[in-house]
Amino acid sequence: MTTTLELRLGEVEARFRTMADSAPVLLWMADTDALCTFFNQTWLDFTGRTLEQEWGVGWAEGVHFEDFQRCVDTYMAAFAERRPFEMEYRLRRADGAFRWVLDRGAPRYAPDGRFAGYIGSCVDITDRKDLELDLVRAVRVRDEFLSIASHELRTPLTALRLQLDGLARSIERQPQRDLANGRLAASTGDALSQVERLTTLIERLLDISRFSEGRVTLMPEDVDLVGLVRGVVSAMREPARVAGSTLTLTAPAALAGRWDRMRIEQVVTNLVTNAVKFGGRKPIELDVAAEAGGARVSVRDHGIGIDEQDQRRIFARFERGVSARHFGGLGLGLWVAKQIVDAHAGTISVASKPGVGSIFTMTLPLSSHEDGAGGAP
Amino acid sequence: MSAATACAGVLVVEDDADITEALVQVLESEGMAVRAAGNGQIALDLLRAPGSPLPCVILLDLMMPVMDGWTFRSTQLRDPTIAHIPVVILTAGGPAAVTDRVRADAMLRKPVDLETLLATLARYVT
Repeated sequence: MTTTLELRLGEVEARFRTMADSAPVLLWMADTDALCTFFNQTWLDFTGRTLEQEWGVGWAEGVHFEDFQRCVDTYMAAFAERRPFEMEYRLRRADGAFRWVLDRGAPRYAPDGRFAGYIGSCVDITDRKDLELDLVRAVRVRDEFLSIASHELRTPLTALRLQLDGLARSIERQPQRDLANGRLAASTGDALSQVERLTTLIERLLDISRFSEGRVTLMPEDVDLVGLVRGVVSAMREPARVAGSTLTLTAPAALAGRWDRMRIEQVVTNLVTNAVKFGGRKPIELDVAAEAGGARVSVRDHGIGIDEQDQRRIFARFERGVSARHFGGLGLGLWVAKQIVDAHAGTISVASKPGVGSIFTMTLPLSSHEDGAGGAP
Repeated sequence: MSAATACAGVLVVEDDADITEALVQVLESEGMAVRAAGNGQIALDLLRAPGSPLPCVILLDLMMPVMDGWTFRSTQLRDPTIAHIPVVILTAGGPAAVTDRVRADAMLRKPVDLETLLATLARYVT
């Protein structure tokens, strides 16, 4: 009888051992004293060592010396509290190469509930780690390129702008204002507005590299948000008229707070520019209002609108709701806007229906947290 | 006081030939005396040359070969014969990168519009 049971137990154990040995992960087990007593064949094949060599704390010889102490600390701390743990470290492979592994361990218990030690598994995550590094490197190279490109592009623009400004001044100074002069002045004005446009595009390029490096430092000052929005509205009135839209502003007399004036102006300008661009020649309404502890600015248009799927991604980099062929621009405006509002500890969101229009809403706390002026006014 | 009254025009310190040419043209057509230096070292040599009148203001680029704007400015401030000359920075770099590290009387960003440039320089050129 006993022999039959022992035989059957032996069979079961053999079956589990086969399973463990053919599992595509590195498996280990430790006893209650934290010493390892089992490694599956996958582990032994990986390290190219024998069970005797890995036994106890032998396995730790394969851990990269830079990761060793951290590993031991993590393992022993988890062990003492009998909680699951997770750690990444470099483990020497049979060919001598160190590979990054993700090791997950959990306490195991005997059928009667007694603590029996630990069991764990490791997977090789080197390829994933390499990919992550490549990605980080690629982003850095891209941002560096943008930064250099925008700097380089600014140089000829500076010369161009000065020459055109000089030309405009000379035309102005001509004693007789005849037809030819008028045409020359108009052309110079047109050329200058193209320079402005290029400058804005380059500014945005620089903005993404700046924001993605987290280099944006706010310069908060006392700002009347109503005055600021009023300024944007009056600057945008003419472009809106040309696009066939009117701008109306509903606002209290003033709404004071501490923000980075230029940056917030940039956000509002961006929202109004978008509304003009996608507003379908219909009226655009701006609303400024005080909220509990903050301020809210909303820009509503009655244009083409944005479908639900696009609403989620328009605040991402290089994203746009519509195809590039129809509307110019880099698709950076809203991403930059979001970075600015985030830096102010505010929020920016959109509600929209295709064919009905969009409403973009920005909320700002009355003083930005970078100011260190928390608490009551 | 004598230094202030004896000054003459603008010294443009800029490594880009096209920008320098444009600056010289527009400023001269406004009736200003303009001299130009291709980098900070040339500017220092010009300023320290005996006999020539000092400029009323220096229009300074920051990123230049040989001697950049930051080095020029700190060297200038340590030289008592030229330390008093006001400096207007004209740079393509972002404001944060610039203001942190250089002391200047005014800061203009490239591309600058002529109106702003002239109004800024007018504060120093008499």
